[in-house]
Amino acid sequence: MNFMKKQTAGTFATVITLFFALISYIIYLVNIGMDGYFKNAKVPAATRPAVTAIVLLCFVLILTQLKFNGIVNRIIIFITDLMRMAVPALSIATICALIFSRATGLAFIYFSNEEVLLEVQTAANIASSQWTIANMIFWGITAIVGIVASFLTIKKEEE
Amino acid sequence: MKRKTITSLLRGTSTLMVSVLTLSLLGTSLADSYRKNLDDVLGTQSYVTISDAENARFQSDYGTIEEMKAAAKDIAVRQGEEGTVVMKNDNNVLPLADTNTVALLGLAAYAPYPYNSGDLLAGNEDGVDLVEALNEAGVAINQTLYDFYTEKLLNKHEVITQNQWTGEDVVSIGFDHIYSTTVGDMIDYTIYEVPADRYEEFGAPADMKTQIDKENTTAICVFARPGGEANTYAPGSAVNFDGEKTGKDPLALSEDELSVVAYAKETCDKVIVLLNTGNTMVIKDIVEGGAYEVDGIAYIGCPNDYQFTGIINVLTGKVNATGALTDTFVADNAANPSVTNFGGDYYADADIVSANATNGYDYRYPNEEISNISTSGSFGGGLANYSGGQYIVEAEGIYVGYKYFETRYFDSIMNPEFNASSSEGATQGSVWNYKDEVIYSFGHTLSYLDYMQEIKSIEVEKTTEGNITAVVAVTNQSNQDGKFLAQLYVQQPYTEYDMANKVEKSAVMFLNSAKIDVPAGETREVEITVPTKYLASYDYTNAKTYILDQGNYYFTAAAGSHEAVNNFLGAQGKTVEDGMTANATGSAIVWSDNAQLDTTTFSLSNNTIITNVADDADLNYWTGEETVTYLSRQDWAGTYPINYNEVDIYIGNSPRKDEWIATLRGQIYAIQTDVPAAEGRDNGVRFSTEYIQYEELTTIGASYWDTLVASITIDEAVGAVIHGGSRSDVLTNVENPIVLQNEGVNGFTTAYVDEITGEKYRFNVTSMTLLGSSFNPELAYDWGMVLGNSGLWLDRYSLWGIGLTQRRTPYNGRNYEYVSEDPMLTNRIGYGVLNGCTEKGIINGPKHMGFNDQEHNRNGIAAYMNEQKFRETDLRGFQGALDEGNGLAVMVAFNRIGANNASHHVGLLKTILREEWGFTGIISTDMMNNSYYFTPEAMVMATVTQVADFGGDDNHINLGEGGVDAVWPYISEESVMNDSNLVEQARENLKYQLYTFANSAVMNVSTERVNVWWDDVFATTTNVSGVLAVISIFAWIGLCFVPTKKKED
Repeated sequence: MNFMKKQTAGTFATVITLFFALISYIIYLVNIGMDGYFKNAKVPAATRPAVTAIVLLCFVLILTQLKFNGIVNRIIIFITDLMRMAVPALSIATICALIFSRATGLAFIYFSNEEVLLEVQTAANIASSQWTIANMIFWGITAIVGIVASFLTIKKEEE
Repeated sequence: MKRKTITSLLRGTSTLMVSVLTLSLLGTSLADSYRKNLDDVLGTQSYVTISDAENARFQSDYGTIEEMKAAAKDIAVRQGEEGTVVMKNDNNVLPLADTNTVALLGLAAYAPYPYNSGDLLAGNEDGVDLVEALNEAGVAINQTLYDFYTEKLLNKHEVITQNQWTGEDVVSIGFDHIYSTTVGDMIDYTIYEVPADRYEEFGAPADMKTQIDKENTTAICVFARPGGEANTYAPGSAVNFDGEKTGKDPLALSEDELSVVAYAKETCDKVIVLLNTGNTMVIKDIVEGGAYEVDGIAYIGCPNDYQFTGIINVLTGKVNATGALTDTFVADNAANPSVTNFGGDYYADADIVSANATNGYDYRYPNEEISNISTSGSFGGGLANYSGGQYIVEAEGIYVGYKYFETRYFDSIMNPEFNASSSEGATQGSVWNYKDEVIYSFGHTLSYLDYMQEIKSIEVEKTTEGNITAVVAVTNQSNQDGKFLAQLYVQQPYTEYDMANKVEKSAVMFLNSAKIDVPAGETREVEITVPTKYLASYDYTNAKTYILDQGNYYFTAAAGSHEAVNNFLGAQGKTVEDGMTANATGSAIVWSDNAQLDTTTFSLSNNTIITNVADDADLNYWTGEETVTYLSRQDWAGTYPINYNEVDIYIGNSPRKDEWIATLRGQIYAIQTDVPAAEGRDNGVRFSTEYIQYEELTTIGASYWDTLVASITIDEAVGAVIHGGSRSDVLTNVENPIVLQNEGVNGFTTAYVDEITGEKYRFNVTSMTLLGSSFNPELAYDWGMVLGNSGLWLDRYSLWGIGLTQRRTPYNGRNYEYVSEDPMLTNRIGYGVLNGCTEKGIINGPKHMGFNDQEHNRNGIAAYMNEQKFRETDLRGFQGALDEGNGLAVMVAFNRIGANNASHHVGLLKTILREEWGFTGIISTDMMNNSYYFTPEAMVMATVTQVADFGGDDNHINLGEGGVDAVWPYISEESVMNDSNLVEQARENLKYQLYTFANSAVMNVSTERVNVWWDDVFATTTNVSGVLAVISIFAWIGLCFVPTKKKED
């Protein structure tokens, strides 16, 4: 209870950001594991910023729970804030990498000529594309929540 | 405000600005990658063309857009007039009597296929359908049926969908009850025709029958079969109106359709059936002797905007009927030997090709598992896959369509020892009988006006570049002036040499045709020419080149292949007494100057020695034994094809196992590492009219071209070839023009927009089906000219705008794009269209060279065949356009030829196309779609100039993980820089591309990239967010580290 009372609004917002980032990454893993158009279609260019964002968020949450004093505390706050600022940018980079690698596939699935739709719009391909789109949306939510969180203080400065 | 609050605000603002900056920077890059696609959906124009119309080399023949539109309309009407084929005309049902009313039956009568604008239908406002064309011609239509069909059944309405990007409303036509316009990929096909006994259920008046004045009404029933990309009809897949599987052929008239015919017979004096399709239908129930025999049958193909005007001009007798059948109509499609091997299936051990720990990995993809069992369609995606698990064996050889039926018929009379009348291949009885199997033969045509065509002379110039010239006298025996069709056929000798060496000869071969206007009661002579080289046959076993046999060559003019073969039989002393279906109606001229077997005259082409290049297309090459027996006329019974998908073919048992696996994996060319390539340097020349003068335009061997392409860097040389994209890539030291590619088998689909009125007009008004059945190469040339002119008006210069693949079976969903089952008719139509386009400087590339015989499994299916088939069927269809027709581009098929991807096939593309035919144009693959069976190094070495993909300006070798070439991580500048052969071949390929641009209307204009509104949005966003990000970050940092004031109290 005491632990909860010590947490700031910024901490809660960062936890929510981490939650969405994890959900987004899980969706990505499910998407490339499930049958359909994007099965096994890994996107390392998206994985790198995504994992970096998750790791940064974890560091932020860990660092903010540790007690530091004086200039060290100030530096830690500065570093954690920098990390929090990077997370939305990394999420956006993830979305862009996903769009770059998935655009052609999505175009095939949704914008092919009428006569080829039967071939390409299989249940598996549709599901696969929907998961991909969901993945992009969730990274978008992560970015927005991350931006909001960055307006909130996560670690109190010593008075 | 508290400092803490300000710090938080600055921190948040910094985050927001950094995020927006990131989005803007990456978004700019992303948008640039898909610039052409974004332009298409957002209606922007990133490339503008600047033309100097007065000094342009290629000028439109039309001074105003109205003249241009009129020319397009005129050619389309002529296609309707010349392409409509009257197949059956009894009881004077045609031309339609002036006094009669027409009763239209069948859903397609009121909604002919295609009815929605797109690739097949221009959809211009002044387009006419069947009803409108009848109205324009003043033909009365039964109102009761019209009301019932249009109001109760069809209920034509607009279907509004929204463009998913722009939100703009897209209006298409919909109906409550309509036939399916999508065939699907070998799935069940529902023939959705409302059966006549259900009319009342759908709101027909109870007395509808009595509201048809039987005595004075002619019924016109129209039945459609659609087509489409990635579509293939499956034999036996028909589903009826009630959704029940009937097990019948989807191309056969269904019970429901026949009930409509029965209704028409009951209620009308006479009945005509119109076949509205690009696929050959099975119509035995309505022909003579059929249970639903009708008076008249006509083929109308897939009409576009204006063809119905021409069709009605034929049906009303305003013009004579001169169209002819491009394909053989049979009683059962299974009678085609090609259908025996169709669809495809897996090798018994297809998985042995897969790259994995058990089989061994592909050296280009260490430790990556690549399956050989297809899991996806032709659009990629899914597991990494070689797409090489399935195959078909085209064991019928050259005997496709009429060449099979007419040759077997000829042998049943002339060569009984060949077992033509055996049971093998018979579908209508215990023994094979031509009359039972064939309903209408290739070239079949009925003229309203009595006429006679007689071959008067033949001249054969026996040289590589020589021509056969026939003079045909056409006599108009009627009392009306009219146009007539003359068809030239030949019979080559089938000799002991041929039998010994497996050289097959059709008993009749179409060569060319022409149309001529002849006044009533008069005779006119028409000259028909065709290159002599097409008289030669390919001997793949002994001479291994083209041969011209000694013996008698019979030439005749006839109204179809069957009449021609009867003329040949007549010339050899046969009559109906010998079993002929009819006596000869014309004479044949014998050319017998070839006193001995000639294996040299046609063994050289364009200074290239012609010899085998596709031994490995033969399955027997791989199995090492006579696994496949090719159909041979010397023993119809013993060689009739079996289904080779029912034979267990084991790759692992092959004496060439490793080579077979490597070929199926696409390991055709190993990148060398020991001969460094020269890096491209600026040689001071550019792609411009300053340097491109007469010699450069006419000679690809001019030193300028070598100098120019030597300046292309290694990265760009290979990168530009292996990425085609939707536009040409910019080469740094060349400054070549940007050329946008366009799709449209019926012409440019891009609309011309009137700058003043905003009115749109589309010029894709042709119909490939009717152009084919016109049998008129001059009409094809005229269309090529109109198409070329339309490109000049649209400022579009590159088009994939004609299909020249042979229709091997009736089931291919893309037959509507192709011309015929006959390679020579295809050849002559292609020759005409491409000549016209090239004359106007338009790069028109025919599709899909290399046996796109079925859309099913088109991505990678192996089509095995012998080299005579390889050269004399599908390729011959393209040869007229690309060899002597001055064609400037071609697109290769998706499939394999033998085990080798058609786009990797050096024998096909480099030896035959480039060297034997002297083709200097663009060779494009079909959509690569990140498929593993396309490999860049093999395509470069096969002289491909561009790989089709969706990229933009992507002239670098490795585009990375998200790139269109993500499946080629092993290709990089570093990996190719020590292979001089590969790099120089890539430069050579780009030379072909640049040389083609120089000889096209691309030189009319310069193309510039300009910023559109979304470029400005990105730029502004980047700048503003960048500045705000810097300011807010610095302010935030400052506040973070400025010491806090102690509180005074």
